[in-house]
Amino acid sequence: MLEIFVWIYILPILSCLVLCLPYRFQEKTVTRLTGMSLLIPAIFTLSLLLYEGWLGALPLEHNALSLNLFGHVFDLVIWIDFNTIIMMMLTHILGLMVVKYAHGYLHLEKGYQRFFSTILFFIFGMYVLSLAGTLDLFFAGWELVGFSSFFLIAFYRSHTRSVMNAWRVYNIYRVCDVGILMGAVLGHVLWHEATRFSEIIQISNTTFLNTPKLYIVIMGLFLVMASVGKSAQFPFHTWPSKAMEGPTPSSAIFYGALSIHAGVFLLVRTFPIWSISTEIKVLVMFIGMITFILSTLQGRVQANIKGQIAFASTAQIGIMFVELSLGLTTLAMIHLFLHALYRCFQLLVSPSVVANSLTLNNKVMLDRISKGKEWELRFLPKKLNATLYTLALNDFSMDPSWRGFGLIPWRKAYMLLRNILSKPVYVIPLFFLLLLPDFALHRWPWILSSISLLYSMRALFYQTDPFHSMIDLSISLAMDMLSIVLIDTHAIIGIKIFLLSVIPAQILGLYICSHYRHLSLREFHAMGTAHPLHGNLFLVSFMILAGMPISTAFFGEDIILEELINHSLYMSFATTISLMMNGLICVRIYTRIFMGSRSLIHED
Amino acid sequence: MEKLTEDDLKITGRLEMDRFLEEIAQELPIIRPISEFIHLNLLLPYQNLPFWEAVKTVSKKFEAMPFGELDLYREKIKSGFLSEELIKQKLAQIAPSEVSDIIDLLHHKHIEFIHHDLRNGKLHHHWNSSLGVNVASLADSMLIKWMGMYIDQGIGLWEMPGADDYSFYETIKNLFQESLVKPAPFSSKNFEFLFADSAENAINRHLKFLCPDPMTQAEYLRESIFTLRGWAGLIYCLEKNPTLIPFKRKVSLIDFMAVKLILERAWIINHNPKAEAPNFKELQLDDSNPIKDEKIFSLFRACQEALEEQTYKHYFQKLNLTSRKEVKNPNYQAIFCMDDRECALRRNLENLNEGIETFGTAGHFGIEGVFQHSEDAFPKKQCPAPLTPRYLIKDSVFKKEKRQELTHDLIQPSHKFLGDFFQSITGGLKSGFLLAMNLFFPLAFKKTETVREIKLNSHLKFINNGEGPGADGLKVGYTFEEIAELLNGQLRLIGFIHQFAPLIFVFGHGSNSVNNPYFATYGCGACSGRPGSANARTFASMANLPEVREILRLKYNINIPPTTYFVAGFHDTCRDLIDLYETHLLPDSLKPSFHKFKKYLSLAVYKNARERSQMFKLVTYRPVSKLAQKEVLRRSYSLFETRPEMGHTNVAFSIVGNRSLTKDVDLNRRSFLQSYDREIDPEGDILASSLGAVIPVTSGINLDYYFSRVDNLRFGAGSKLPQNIVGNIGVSHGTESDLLFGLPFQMIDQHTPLRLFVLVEQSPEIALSAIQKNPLVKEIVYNNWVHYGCWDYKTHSYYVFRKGEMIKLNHSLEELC
Repeated sequence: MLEIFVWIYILPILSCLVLCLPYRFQEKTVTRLTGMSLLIPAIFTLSLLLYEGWLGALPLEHNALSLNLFGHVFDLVIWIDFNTIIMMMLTHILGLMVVKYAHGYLHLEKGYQRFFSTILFFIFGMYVLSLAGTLDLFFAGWELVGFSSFFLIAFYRSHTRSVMNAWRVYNIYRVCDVGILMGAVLGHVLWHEATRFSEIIQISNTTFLNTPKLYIVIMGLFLVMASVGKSAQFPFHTWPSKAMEGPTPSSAIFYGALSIHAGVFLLVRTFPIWSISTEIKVLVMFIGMITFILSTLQGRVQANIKGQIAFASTAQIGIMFVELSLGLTTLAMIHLFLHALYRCFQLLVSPSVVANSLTLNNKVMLDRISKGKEWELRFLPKKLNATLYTLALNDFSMDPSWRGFGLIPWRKAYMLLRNILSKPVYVIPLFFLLLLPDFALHRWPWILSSISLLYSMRALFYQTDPFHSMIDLSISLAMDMLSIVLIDTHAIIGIKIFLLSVIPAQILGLYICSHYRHLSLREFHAMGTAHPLHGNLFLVSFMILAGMPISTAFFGEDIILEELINHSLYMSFATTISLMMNGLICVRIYTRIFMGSRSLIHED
Repeated sequence: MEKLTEDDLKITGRLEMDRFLEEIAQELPIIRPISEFIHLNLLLPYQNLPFWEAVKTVSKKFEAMPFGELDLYREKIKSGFLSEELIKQKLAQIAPSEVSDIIDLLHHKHIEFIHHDLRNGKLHHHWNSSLGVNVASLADSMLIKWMGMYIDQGIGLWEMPGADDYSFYETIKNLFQESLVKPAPFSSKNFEFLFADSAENAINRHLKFLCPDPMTQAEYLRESIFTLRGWAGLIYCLEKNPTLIPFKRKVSLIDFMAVKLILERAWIINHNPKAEAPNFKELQLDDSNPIKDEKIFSLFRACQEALEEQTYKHYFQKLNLTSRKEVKNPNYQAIFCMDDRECALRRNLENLNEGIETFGTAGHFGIEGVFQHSEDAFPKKQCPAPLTPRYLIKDSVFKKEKRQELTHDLIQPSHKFLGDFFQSITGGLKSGFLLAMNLFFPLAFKKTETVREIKLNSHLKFINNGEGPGADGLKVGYTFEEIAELLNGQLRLIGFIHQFAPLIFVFGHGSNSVNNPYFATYGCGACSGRPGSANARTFASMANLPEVREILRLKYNINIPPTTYFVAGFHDTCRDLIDLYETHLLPDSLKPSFHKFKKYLSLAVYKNARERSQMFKLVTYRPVSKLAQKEVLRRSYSLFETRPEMGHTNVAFSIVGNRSLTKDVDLNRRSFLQSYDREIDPEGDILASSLGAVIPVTSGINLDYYFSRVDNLRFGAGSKLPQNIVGNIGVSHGTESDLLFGLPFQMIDQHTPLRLFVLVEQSPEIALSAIQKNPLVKEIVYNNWVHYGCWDYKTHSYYVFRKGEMIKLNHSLEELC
């Protein structure tokens, strides 16, 4: 049964494609289509459970498809265990409820169809993420979720602040993408193929006797880094409150319910790996605790209801991290399930809070009147109380880093490097050094990939017009590919696969950007309304360049990094970062040129 | 680190600063706490200008669209409602030389209206570009958070220390001073310098730095205020009316501005300690908006006037002008609110039985009171917004009802350490279940609170038994004399002083919808956006007092027979349900006819529901069927419904006159109906006092809808979907935006922008003198914010007000406006 019907899970993405057609469907058609493409998989999951005899038959592993790209085989492995069931149930229940809710809520709203296609895209991402049997497939789902999140935060495309916040959240997502991508690649080193969750659960302390522990610790660290960003843990725990810019149902399903728990789910999936190292367990516990404490304090000083709920969410996820670090994965999953339902509900009824507080029954009002205080605050001296309040009110002064101040050191570093490299005094000796035969052969790839990184940085931090930014991006990609060819001829398959879709995307991107050469990337230009075709085409090119799992670029990336890591950890890391930056460069161009409202706002 | 200079010690006094800010504040939008919502003319600060001039000024100033989009008029022309001839006629008056040019525009011009982002003004932009960061936006997001938490009325879980006693500036200063660590842009070194000893000193000190040129300083301040005009508007409103919020706060614009400037400077220092103010040269904004084109303005104006004229004409021809049909010996009489939503209910009710007579008046029924119910946290004002309440009326619940709760315990996260953990573990399944039930079977599981204000079985205490003044100097209840005076005034106002039926009903109205931050906009405008049931009940009970009737008979010559009984009721305009209060006290003799009337009521309400459900546009709902009542109920109970009812979406008229003028006429919920009897008002005094209430209130409602509709981005609140509740006092988009004002898109998307036509049933002389007695009314009418006209029963013709005179219209009603 599983063999054939598992393809039912691609229904959402098919419907999403239908809704992306340049045709305005009736609202009824849109919701029916969406509802059906969520309902049928839900029924299937249920019947699968019944058929396989509930949980008895679990865990299940199934190789749905072997994809052969130029002789390189990708296995689409599905892995169903208790955790999958929990995530799938959540996705089904909340997906259906939110679609029902949004159907009425978004009535007559501009972008009705866009909203539902994004939700479908997201749900598909959640399916992939929940069912994935390998870390690579998990990463694909992860990317889809992050990408749809960007679009729903920036749902009101003409609101500059919404777009800005979406871009900032996407920045954080990219950081955590580096984590999971590196994790997946390191997994290849450890298992010599994609990391299967079915194998992960069987590992023990003795499995990796041959591998240095450092590798496992590094892989664990990368995975923790990924989940910390996605699940908004310290130091990223303020972003959900800023991401509440889209329609309420989208905020509910993303930052109340599903997307924000993806990080926890990743940690549950990879628990056997990172729990090998006590240091990482302590780290996870520490992160969870600190997020819990900070978020609780920050949540108390939010005067707006959605912000309050956002911090409550991160606080609970902090607790889940602690539970995980103690090895209580089942408890964490149950907690996740209940918390998602609870938080989703809370966000959806959040507009009721005004009417609610007008009656005496409201506990906040009652506390206020009776001057009730939290017990722990009664014991604090006045000064400490004021300090805590001040810090909580100002997000523990982490707001500037969120606003892009974190980029300033990078930009400064880039400018410094640029100054050095523009002076022949420094460059010429370097050049001669490179010409020395035995030195150069080993160092060229290294240097090329550094140059590639520099070009990516230049495109991201320095260039102010889209065309040059795109050119820098191309140069950076070319350098990358060159360095990889030099180091490892095996990776050529990967490069072929990668370039197969990247070159057309690159040309398309350059072509579109050449129309907007005169525009500065420091401002928003809202060209999307005037030139929707350009906007949409650029979007496609951007999705390919960012390595979304919609083109061969995604698979190529995977192969390249896998081959690279066998040679040099540094090179694979640098390549990962410059690939991640490509996504950011594209999204920066996309937001500045095609979104926002024309204004004098000048940011980042 | 800079040192205090001599200059800093020379202080411009607080008074001077106050006056200056006051001047700027006059242009701010007026924003009231959201639970105290009142419809106001969104261009109220410009009401002293003629309508078109004000519109032009404002549209230039805020780059706002002052009319409905051209497609609206084109559609009307296409459907045949509006004729191009009429537009040409109007154009001939406005711009006689360019008629054909402008008409061409109507056919061909595609007008794209660009909304620039107003959040950052020119001067701030200079700072931003010289520094490379957006200082104002950094400052704003912090300021919004601080102000929200300071002013918070029940969402924040940790009250700001000192907020109860100190002003905003002092509170923030004390808090940070006390704190061992200074938050981000501040350091312990520059803190003392940045926070000067008083708000006005801080403004002086920092303004000089931020904008050294004294000529542009005023402009800089103005710009700073207008980048947060939502918050500034609310603060200004609260500064003037501190009683609007239950937890008192000492807010003032001056504090707000001081903190804003401090933050701006702190961020500048943080970014570049040596930064100097840039040279403020004039920076030109993109000036391409079509509205600045005089021709397009004329076109819009002509279209708008033509549309208005055509609509008015359409309905005026329907009015019943031939004879004055009086109900002889009525069996039942009912007093409703003048609200346009009651107009269809009245028609449906009257159609059921010849013997039913209805009246309309402002829904607070003259009671200038504050009500406190036994379960309320705070007493609530239940009279029109401009009035200061004088009386306190309390009620107690006889038997505690077990409250039905959907959200009370789950709606807000608990931020006790671990409290939320237990809540999510225990409440997770429950909330999932409640949500699913509400979404899929909204009527099967109605666990939502009804905001009926009064429980059916409560007991009102409105008679003063010689108690002294209560809290806030309010009188506790009325004396008999005061009651009689009130009743006399109210009954004469609506011309209801003879022919009392045995059963008289008094209906308040309100609206119950869930998950709707704008619920107060659907309430009774005369009761400060609250349900009017308490007022109706008080009024009915007052009129039932034998002592009062005695005084009425002796002193005011109003003879209410002892057999007459007043019953109070409550019409829920969203659910179309009616509750009747204290029916157990009804004399036995009246019971049979009472039950009969109850049947009429339920039938009328059902018809009303059916009419309404025809107007809703949600495509998947079966629009008209026998399930009409269910349909409106489902709207009211569904969490996802953004359009629970129509509100005042059709509003276009305000008719002050006898009911016979509008009886049996289907006004399509377009009209406010204030009852008025010209026979008992030969001098026009009653008319003047009636218009004194009717015109400001109804024009406020109308113009709120009008401007929210024509430019929902500038004047309105935008879409309801991403809105977020801030501090229980306002809504914002997301978590760090300015407060939104005006009405959301979902409330106005079916509204056709039309100015109100106020029609009175009087002779032109009295009608003219009536508007001149009240300066506010005079301002509104003379500046054309409403159209004003009268129906003269003597000459049997319409008159309209134009440039200070009443002009007679011919029979085909040409040149109506």
